[in-house]
Amino acid sequence: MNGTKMGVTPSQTIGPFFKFGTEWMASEDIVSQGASGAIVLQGTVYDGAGDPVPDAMLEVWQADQVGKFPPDTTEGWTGFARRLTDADGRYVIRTVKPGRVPDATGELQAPHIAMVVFARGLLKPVFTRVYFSDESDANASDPLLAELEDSQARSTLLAALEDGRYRFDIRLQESSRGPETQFFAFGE
Amino acid sequence: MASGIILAKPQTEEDPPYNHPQYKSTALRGPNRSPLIIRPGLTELHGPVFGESRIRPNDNDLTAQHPGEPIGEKIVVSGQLMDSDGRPIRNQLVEIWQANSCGRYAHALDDHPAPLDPNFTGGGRTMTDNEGRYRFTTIKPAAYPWGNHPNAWRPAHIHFSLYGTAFTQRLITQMYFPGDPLIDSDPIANSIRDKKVLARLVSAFDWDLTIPGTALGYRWDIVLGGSNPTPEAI
Repeated sequence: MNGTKMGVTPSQTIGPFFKFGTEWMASEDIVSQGASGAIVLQGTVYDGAGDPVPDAMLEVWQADQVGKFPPDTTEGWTGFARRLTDADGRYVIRTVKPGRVPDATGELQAPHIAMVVFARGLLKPVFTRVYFSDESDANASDPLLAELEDSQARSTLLAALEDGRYRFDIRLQESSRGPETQFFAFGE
Repeated sequence: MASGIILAKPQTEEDPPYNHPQYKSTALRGPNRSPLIIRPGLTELHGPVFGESRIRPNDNDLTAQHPGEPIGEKIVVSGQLMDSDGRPIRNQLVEIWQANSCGRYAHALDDHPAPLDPNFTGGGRTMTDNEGRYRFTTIKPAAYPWGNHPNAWRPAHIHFSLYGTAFTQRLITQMYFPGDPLIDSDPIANSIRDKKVLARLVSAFDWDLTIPGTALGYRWDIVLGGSNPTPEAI
């Protein structure tokens, strides 16, 4: 498009008191229990003191199992889930591992889920990606993971398989819980 | 840097910073490392689509969600949701939440000793129309004190949650009211350093939105950044 860009509306914090406005959409899973290929993604949001964040809202967004997005998906597929963290800072989402989709240059990426986290104290959200630790071949050829030279930062993007569930913690800052999660901003 | 996925410049540098000492809660929650700026992939260039079926008739009228009338000044808040090229964002979900006319939230942890209103919860949602327009009927929220610093007061505001056509456009923000003297001293509003950018969060009084004898009207247009090429164009 040509012409002058409009001034973009800036971000402000979600604040502490969003539950009554956002929880209506915060209990749906991406797939139902027993669905083919169902996995559980869960974790805890931590602050810089290593304390759980009980008032965060997070959202995930992903391709389906064959790497498609609506409207090219089967009926009922949304690819989206919202969660409000519980009193212990935890979230749990039932979903499926997404298929591989290309990056902006057409290169195939490893399976990953896009995640955004909002909280009191965050004047703008943090964006990250959930990759899967048991996809080592795909991860090794993922264009973003390949460019992350800091192996500690890279490790924060990998959901670990523990007792049949994928665990992905979000650390807003480095603490006794581990290094700060690698967050992203988007360019064009 | 084979694939060029890591970039030097973000889409916008007008958003507030993660660390803003005047807003105390940022100290332990704002990341200390700068986010890595990346070219969004196909996932981030798509975004969730919410069906009309999720919205109930009174979801956009916060004054009609209980048996009685809420207390306070009834207002209409309406505007257009668009991308930075001015293209309307059609059929997309807009959510709001706010304090009541006494400055109290319907939230268990809000301990401000102002009364709750049994006829007002303060949450609403709607879908934008074909021109990207949304419209809510609500009660004007009041200012309220908070513990950030001595005698701290938040200006009256309505929280807005917005989706574009791409996940990169996801926005949660706050709408303020014109002429509010508390905006100048509010650390959250002033985390936006450029006054011209902050002004985009202030709604405009609009006679055309008023309902004679019933409600005053405020217009607030919302522009989402990150208007990338459509995924089909990649």
